[in-house]
Amino acid sequence: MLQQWIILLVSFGYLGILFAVAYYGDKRADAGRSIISNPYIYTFSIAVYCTGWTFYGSVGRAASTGVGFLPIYLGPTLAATVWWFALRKIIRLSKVNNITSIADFIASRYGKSSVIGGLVTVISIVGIMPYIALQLKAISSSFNVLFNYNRQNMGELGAGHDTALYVALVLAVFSILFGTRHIDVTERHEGMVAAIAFESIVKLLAFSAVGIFVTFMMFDGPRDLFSQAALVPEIAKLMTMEPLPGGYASWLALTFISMTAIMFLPRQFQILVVENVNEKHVRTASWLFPLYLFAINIFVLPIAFAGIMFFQTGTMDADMFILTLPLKGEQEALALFVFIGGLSAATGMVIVETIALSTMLCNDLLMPVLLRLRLLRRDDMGRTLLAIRRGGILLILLLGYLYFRLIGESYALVTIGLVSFAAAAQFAPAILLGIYWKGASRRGALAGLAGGFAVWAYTLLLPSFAISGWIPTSLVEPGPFGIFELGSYHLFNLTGFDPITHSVFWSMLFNVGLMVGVSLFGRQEALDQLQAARFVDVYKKRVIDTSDAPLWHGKTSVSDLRGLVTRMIGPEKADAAFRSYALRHALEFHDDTLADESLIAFAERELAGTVGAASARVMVSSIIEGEALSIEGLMKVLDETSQVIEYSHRLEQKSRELETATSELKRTNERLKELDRMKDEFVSTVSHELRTPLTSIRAFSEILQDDVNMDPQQRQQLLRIVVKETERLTRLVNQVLDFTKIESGSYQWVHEKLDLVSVVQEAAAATSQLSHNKNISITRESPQGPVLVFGDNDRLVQVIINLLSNAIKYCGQDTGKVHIRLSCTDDKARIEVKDNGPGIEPGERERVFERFHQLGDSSKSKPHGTGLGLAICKTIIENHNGRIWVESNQPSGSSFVFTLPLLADSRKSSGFPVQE
Amino acid sequence: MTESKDRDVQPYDDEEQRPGPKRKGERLISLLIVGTLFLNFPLLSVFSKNYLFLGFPVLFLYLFIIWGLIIGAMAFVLRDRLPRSSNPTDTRKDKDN
Repeated sequence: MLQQWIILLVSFGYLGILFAVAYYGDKRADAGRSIISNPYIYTFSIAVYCTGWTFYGSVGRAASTGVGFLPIYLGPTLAATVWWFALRKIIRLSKVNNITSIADFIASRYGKSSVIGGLVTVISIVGIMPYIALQLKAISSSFNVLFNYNRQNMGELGAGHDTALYVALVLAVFSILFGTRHIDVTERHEGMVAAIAFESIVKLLAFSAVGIFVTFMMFDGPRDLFSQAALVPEIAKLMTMEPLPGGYASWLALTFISMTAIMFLPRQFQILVVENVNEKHVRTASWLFPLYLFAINIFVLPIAFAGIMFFQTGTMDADMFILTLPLKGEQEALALFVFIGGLSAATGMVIVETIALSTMLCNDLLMPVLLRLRLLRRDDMGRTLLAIRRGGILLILLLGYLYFRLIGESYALVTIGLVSFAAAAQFAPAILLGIYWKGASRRGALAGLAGGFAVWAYTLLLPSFAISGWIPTSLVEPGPFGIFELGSYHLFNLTGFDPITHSVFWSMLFNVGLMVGVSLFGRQEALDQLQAARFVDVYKKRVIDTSDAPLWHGKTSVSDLRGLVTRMIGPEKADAAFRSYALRHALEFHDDTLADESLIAFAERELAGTVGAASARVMVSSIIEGEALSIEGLMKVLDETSQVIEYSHRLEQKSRELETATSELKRTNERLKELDRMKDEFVSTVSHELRTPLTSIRAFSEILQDDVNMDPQQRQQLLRIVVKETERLTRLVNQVLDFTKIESGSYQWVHEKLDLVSVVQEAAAATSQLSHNKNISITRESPQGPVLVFGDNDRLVQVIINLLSNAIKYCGQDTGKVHIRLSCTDDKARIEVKDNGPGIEPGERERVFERFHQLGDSSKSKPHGTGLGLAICKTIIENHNGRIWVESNQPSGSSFVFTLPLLADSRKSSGFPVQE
Repeated sequence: MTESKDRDVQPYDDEEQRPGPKRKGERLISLLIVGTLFLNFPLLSVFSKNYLFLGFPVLFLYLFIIWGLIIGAMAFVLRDRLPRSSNPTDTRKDKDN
């Protein structure tokens, strides 16, 4: 029989050893020779995951649900597969940003928001309260079992309230001694980590010792144990999945929440991330930690089965089998060792958890409030911080005790713990989405966390109070106001799940749904956006380099800044920090110089390591005049994005320019092709036109040559044709020459002042013979007095001759009438040549001015002209800034009209038309 | 110019993060998926039998064997390949830089 003093002596002796280990760890850390800087210590410290829950509770749960205790350890194993990316990224982010806790991490990600930090802290403290209660229950129950076993008062084996209170107080003192001896800029506790790792070894050894004792001493090996167990119907039932409440859905839900719990329980975050020395240690821990879990769980089922076989149902709390079995086997020393193992498991959890929570309570909940209320004006803030944290540890443990007093007796260990796991799962969306999705916004995270937490509290926390009788059970069953759909265990009529699965489903649905929804449909603030980019892109070099980018846009002096940092972290550390900064940037400070932006950012980061990102931001902004987020700094971090955008802008512009150039080239090419085609056409038409008269000249010449005896009259006729054709040929060649000369611009225009009346006279005289031949009358009409224009006399005469001869050509013999009229408008001279010939089809009117365009079907009748006449006219008129076109006459015939700009002094002289 | 730009925006700042020819990331994700499949319904229901195999309950045996295999696979994927100089990836790295 164990005396109480022995148990107490051993317990305190053990705590003393722990303290020595911690002390040694701190000493080595101060000397710069860290003992925790290796992956094995890191792995063992992560095993703080295995608490009193694992040590006592797993056996209890196995005794009622078979393998139902396992998802809690399979989840972390599965989660460890992604540690290599996710955890390493979180560690890197925390190091870059000097993160001190999970609340700090989430707040920092979402725009250094103190509201988010505060909310995460509240969720953590409320959510972890049951978990701490669990440890108090485990320690006090085990103490009572050890002390009272085989004594008369066996009935009082349950956890005494007083014992739990003492345990809470002792643990508070112990945690304060461990965790808050001094304020460190990085919030790392090497000694504590060393002690936790030591504890993990102790609890594994203790658990395995019982396992081996039960399996190999009380039974003849595992096969013997299992074969005997299989004969007990009650145990045989436990060898399948059936006893697990909620079945496979529950199994999946438990796996899921333990996957998140291993990373996002505040103490796990503290150990995995904040206390991590080297992120490369994750490599080993990823498989070694699951192996630890494997080892500590392998004897759970044998111990549970043995317990059921040795103790009659209901006489002994299954949670305590691990202790009562050695006592039953009269192995008091082993029992004491197991008790120490359990103490290790529970104290380890409590120490880390309270330190993590009190840091959060201080940095993320109280500091922002105190700062805003401007209550912190004392010189030595370090002491204030320490006092707040120590008070926080005590408060958290007392809250845990309160919860234990309220509901501790009604629940088994694991059930209490699962409530906390479901709370920790609420952090998963905010963190995991936050580090991979830039769009996750502050408002989204706030909505998600608040929604998830509210649902969790309603579906798990509230019922736990109701079942313990502290609030009316009717609130839970059937539901408030008797509404079944609002009942905590069947919200919105969702039935068929056990309470944990039910709560996890709804809280995750609300959490993720609100987070994603609000992020997608809301806007991100500047700082929020900036932090998002920094977190998601932490591996991109450019972003890391700007970790102390000039984000502050304000003025403060170096001495003010140094004063602030000194107040928070003490003069020695502040001096060292500023010295190293000066050294790194090759600067020399004078106290009255203005602090540049990067120094301000540096100071903020240093402060963040002590008081958290959100508080640090508030503090720095309190001493900066004209505080604002600098746009340049923001742009620098978002630079990458903007550079890409700018680059694509430039690319777009280039491609637009290229497109324009291409289309221009295309147009030019088209034009060139057209010109080429026109030239070819011109050459071929000209050749064709030349050949026609040549052919007839040749033919007639050959006839003349061959037929010597030809009738002279006939010969005369043929010779006339030859002469005529030669004339035509000459005319054609002249016209081609003229035309090409004008077209190519090489013709020398002789512009002078002209009287159009005399020009018309000259042209009419030149064509009089032609009209006379066809017996066609030409009438003229022109104003009295001169019509003065500026132009080339010969060319204008040529134009009118052309038009007149065309008119004569198309008019009928004897019946033809040609009228030429010269008139003046305000600023133009107008000349119209009118005939009563066949007229021109409307479709042809434009085309008659094209080169070589012949009226009529050229294949049927011999062309009347060269096809160049009108083209030349058009070119000449246009050269004189005039216009030429065709109008149709009623009832028949056509008018060719052209206008020329009048010279200024001729406008006055508008005489009466003169008929001739 | 493009070369220096590439180097600036290189997404990984240390070679361990860079997806090497060993494709660590893909293997770990696959392990997560396979592990989740093997440790859940319906495969679990196959072994949820009240039956002793080699003296052990089948469900217990199955769960611990799968668990052990996952741990072993993880250790294999994440094994530290030393010494680095004999590693073929090393020469690649030299070339890259």
